[in-house]
Amino acid sequence: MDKPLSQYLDLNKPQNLAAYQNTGGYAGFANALKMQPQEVQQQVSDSKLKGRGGAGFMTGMKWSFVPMGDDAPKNKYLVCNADEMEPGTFKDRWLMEGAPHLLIEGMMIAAYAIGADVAYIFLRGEYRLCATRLQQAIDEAEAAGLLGDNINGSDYSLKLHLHTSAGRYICGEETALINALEGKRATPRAKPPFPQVVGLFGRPTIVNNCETLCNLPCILKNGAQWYTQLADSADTGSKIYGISGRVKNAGLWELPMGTTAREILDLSGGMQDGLKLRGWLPGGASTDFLLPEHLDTPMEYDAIAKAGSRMGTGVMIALDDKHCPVGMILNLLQFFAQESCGWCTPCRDGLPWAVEILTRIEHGLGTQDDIDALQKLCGFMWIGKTFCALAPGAVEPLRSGMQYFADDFQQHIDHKGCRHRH
Amino acid sequence: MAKIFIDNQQYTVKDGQNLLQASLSLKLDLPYFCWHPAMGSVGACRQCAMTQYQDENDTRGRMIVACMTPVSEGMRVSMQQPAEKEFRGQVIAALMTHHPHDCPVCAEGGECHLQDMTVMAGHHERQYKGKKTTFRNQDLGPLVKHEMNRCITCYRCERFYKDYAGGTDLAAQASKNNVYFGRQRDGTLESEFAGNLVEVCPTGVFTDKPFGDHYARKWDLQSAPSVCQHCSVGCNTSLSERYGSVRRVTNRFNEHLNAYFLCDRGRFGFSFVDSESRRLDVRLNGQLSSWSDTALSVKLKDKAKWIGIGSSQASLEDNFALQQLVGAENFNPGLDAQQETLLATHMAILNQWSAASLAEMEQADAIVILGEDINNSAPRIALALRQALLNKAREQAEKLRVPGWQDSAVRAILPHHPVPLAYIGYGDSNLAKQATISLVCDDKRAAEQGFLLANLLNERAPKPKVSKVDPHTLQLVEILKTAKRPLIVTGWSANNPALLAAAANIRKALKAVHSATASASDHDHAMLCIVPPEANTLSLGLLMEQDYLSADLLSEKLSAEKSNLMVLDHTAPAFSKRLDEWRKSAANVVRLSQLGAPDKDEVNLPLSSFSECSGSELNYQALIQSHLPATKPSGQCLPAWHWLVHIGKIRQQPLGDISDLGQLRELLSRSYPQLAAHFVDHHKTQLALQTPRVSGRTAMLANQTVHEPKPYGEADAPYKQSMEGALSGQDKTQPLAYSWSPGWNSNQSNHKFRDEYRGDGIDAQAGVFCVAGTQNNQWFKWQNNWSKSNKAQWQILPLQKVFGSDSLSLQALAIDQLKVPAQIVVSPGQAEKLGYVAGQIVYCDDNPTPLQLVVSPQVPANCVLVYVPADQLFDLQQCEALTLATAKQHEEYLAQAQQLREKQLTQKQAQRDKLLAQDQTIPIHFIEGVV
Repeated sequence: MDKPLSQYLDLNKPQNLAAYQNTGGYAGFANALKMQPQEVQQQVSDSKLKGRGGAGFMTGMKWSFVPMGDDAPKNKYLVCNADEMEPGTFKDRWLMEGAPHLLIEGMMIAAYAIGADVAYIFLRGEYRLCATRLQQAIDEAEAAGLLGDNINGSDYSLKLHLHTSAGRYICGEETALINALEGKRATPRAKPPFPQVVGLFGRPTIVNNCETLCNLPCILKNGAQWYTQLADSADTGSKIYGISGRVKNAGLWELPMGTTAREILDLSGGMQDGLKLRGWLPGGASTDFLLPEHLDTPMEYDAIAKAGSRMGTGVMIALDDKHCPVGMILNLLQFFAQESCGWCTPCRDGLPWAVEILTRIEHGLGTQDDIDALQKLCGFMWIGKTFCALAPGAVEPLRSGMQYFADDFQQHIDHKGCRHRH
Repeated sequence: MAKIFIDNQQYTVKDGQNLLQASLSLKLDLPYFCWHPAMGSVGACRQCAMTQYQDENDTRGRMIVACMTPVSEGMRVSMQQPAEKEFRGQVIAALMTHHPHDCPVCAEGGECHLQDMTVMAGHHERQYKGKKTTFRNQDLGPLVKHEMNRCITCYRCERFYKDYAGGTDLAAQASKNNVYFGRQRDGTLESEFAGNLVEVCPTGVFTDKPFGDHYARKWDLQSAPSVCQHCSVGCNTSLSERYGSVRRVTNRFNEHLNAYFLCDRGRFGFSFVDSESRRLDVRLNGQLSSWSDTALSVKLKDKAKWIGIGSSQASLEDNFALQQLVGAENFNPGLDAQQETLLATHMAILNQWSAASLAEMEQADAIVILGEDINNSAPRIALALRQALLNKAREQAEKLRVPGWQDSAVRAILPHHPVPLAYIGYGDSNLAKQATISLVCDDKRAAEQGFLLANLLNERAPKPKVSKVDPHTLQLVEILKTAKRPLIVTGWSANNPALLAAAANIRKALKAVHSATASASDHDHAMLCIVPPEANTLSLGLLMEQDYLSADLLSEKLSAEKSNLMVLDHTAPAFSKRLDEWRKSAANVVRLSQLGAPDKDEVNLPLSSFSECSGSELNYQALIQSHLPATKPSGQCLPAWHWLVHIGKIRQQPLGDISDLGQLRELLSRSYPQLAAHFVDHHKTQLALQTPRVSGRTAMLANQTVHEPKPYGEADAPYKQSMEGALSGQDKTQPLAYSWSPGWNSNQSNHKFRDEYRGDGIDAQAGVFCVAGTQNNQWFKWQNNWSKSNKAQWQILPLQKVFGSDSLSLQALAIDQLKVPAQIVVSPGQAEKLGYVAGQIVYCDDNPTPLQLVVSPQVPANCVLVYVPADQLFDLQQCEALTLATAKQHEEYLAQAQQLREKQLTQKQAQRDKLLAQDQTIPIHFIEGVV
């Protein structure tokens, strides 16, 4: 099968510009430059590419809200969301370390399609190696005239900046990212206005996930039709899937959209010896737990939603039978409480409250009332009640965990402690 | 208007509002925190949750936050469903996880929005079992106290301080449930609007520090509707009293003037009434005397001619009584010759053009500030102008179908849609920094460019002597021609009548532009604002319309014929200097003063302060407003008009027939018939100055007696007040002495007393304007004698400071602590040439005032800017040489500053001790009704 993303990948020594071009790199951008921006948008719409950041919104649709034409504001921005901080997810890092030119080409295509003249990579601060390699690639592309004024003799110009984040999970939320990029506090903005109209520095802005952008070169090189045929699934194209937890070989694989979770688990060699799978999070910490019985679900947006969770980033976390689900949920919630931006009440004060209760339960100090209180907090922080999606995402493993692992919660209360601890 | 359904009840609400605004306007109780009527919505606290239904068949609905939801025709919502009620309770429970529950020791207790909302939302039992987050508090200076542990993270303080008021030294820091609102490090808050944090904060994070030092609960305070005395805006304030001393000033809502905010000079300046330099006794030649002293009445009955000197620091009634006593031809307004010209010009303009209210100015879409340092001369107007700068962004937001109250969106759009602001003049200020067009020049050149601008807009406008048009002025022509609501701002700061005339000419030119281009239905919406120096300057202008004795003639008269002087309240050193000159040739000097040490050869009659008597002022619009007293007069003090009536009595003059303030006002209304309407309303006033809590069950003076005295009422007042009274705010024609409504103990109760919070349109400004603004518009011709000619090395241009240029507030210890020491500002080029660096001490020629050197590019060529506090004399207008202080002089300067700081602290402690001691030994006979 074609591996349009990972074919360029070399984690030890990523391709330089010449090598990338020799293996077909920048051909997609060359094609794009021959088209009108709207035609590029159309091709991406036709490819039915969905955003790989977690929400799965149609990329072409997202772009279509950007004002185009002569009346549109003069400055527009493209931002790559590479602030990959979802616990258990490391796909963007893999792509950026292994194939920096692939992201740059993808960004050039997207920027051209929306008429942006400045683009930013908003990179997670801890991704030092990515930063080095991306900057090298940007310098190479600039030196070769691929970035800068009048690219390849066209009248299209693009300046690409690498921005390393100061490190907040909330910067994965696109409007908080924009605020951070402007030098403001990383809190989300109210929508409307959407960033496509009023975004970075008040200008139309598209924020796309790193993996989404990496999909663009092959679409522009081989066409939308080719792309839609990559996968036999409701969703199109190629996807970086992965799994972590106590499996034999945690890792990432590029697979067709809609590969089942079981295939991904099998690719990792299955659970480590002596351990059994108890549950799994399909795509990062902010998705609902699924059970072993759900393993045959194809990893596509609708199917996973039907099973009761979200596809998220598509990088799974496995929970085994020798580790405490309450402890795991506590660990996740501690992360989310720490990462709340502090803007809206349910998230800012609700998450630490949930952590406080979970901590007591985990240490054998919980009461029956605490279970009810936790349930109520799940409702308190659910969709529609908070300012952005952080707290509802944080609630997903909690509410599903309380449903699937209710016995474990009860045992902690009845036996005043965790059976996995000694 | 839109028809909406709340809990199946049909209501009609204004379009464009959000659901929270609409609900509160309907007097429904919906709890909220982060929303503020003047600051719009951000959706942070989630407290105002409601349920929205798609249609009448939808039974599930979805939760929304009301402040972020625009009302729409046919909308169906609920605020009584159990789900959202539970959610609102949960929000409070979550907010309160870290709140210290220290209400008994919190200065906000009893008027805390958080307390009110907690009760309203039904949260009553603490469920959170974890530890509370604790913070370190900061010392934020003498005005505002910081207690971060009480914070519920509503972001209002940051949004007010940074976004609304343009402050840069207070912000949200850190994240998660550890967000900290404060400065980077301890230090006095730099914004002159910092005091509003006290009212903006929904709980006790920011509290009024001077009030905290001499504290009483809101329910124990008796409040009087008052008017600020510290600049010409006439902000409405509420003056609160307990045990006979004034405790604090809070904002009193006036839609057209101050709305929700005051500046700190106005909020904290009142305590000059407790100053140790208050005059409390009748004195004759420096010795204690009394009204029955025959030596005193001999002097007062002296047969020689009496000349009266009025004061912009005294009320209209006081000045009028003096004018009546001495005759208009012997009434001098107490101004210098240049100020007399300024006032005459100002009145001539106000006779032709009405001045815009603050609410109107907030709607401007192009602003020209002509030679006026508005940030320092009238801070509240500057704050209104700052809000106008958002108008284009709001318009753009509406185009994108984003409501204008969606604050963060408007601010995101702002950088690309600025409102043009031209700053033509000198000096650094917040607005100078925001200017899109900036021309640094002296007052004369500013006025010339103003005249030229008027001429370019309309060729019939008179030209000045010069004809060189600055490119900035050319730019302005196009901007003003296309603007729908252009605003011209100027004032007295630069002491030049040419600026006033220029502004009036631009105003007239704009009228012609509009009638030429706009359709018949489109009115001329151009606006004008001229700022006089003091709270009551325009009262003098009104009285001068009859006749007056100019400063120049006064000197002549005094030397020609031995006369007596009757001098109303003045504290400015420049006036004292003039008076000392006159004193030499005067027979007797009688002074009626609030403050200052009495001279040894004069009669001194002590005056009640504004907090101790009724009185009226004319603000910058010539709008008459009256204040009521909160306390009894101190010592032997009386209002000036009352002393003057007594003098009239012993001299058997007609004024002596007056028996109370009402009669004086009737006499005043006969001379100025336009005032009658104002005072008629005043006569009908019947106020409840006390909260309903004081209802005969509580003992105000329980430390001495459980007898309940009748609350203090002004003697012979032309209005009625009782414990019951008309319930505060129920009658909209009457001033709201304090804001309170059942369940709404904080100032947020304001919305219970008006139709709605800040809608799109504003009602016409009610009240009586003493100058009609209806005379035919005239062009003003350029007059050379308006501007000073400069032949010296440097012309000295006057600068002002919020804390320093108002002499009354300098007697308030908290403001005195913030007083900016005298400064000289030179341009970077000049500084380099002289080899000076900022912070050095400099002297002008042989003037003894040490001036701290400031370097700024906002200094015109051949000029230096000098600011000297209002309590110091500095009468240089030009200077030949600057000299640097010697090391010894510098040392002395620093030592003096240090001494001053120490003295201020001692004084503050002494004043506090005095007031606290006074509370313990309340002289009961001071309170009416106690036998």
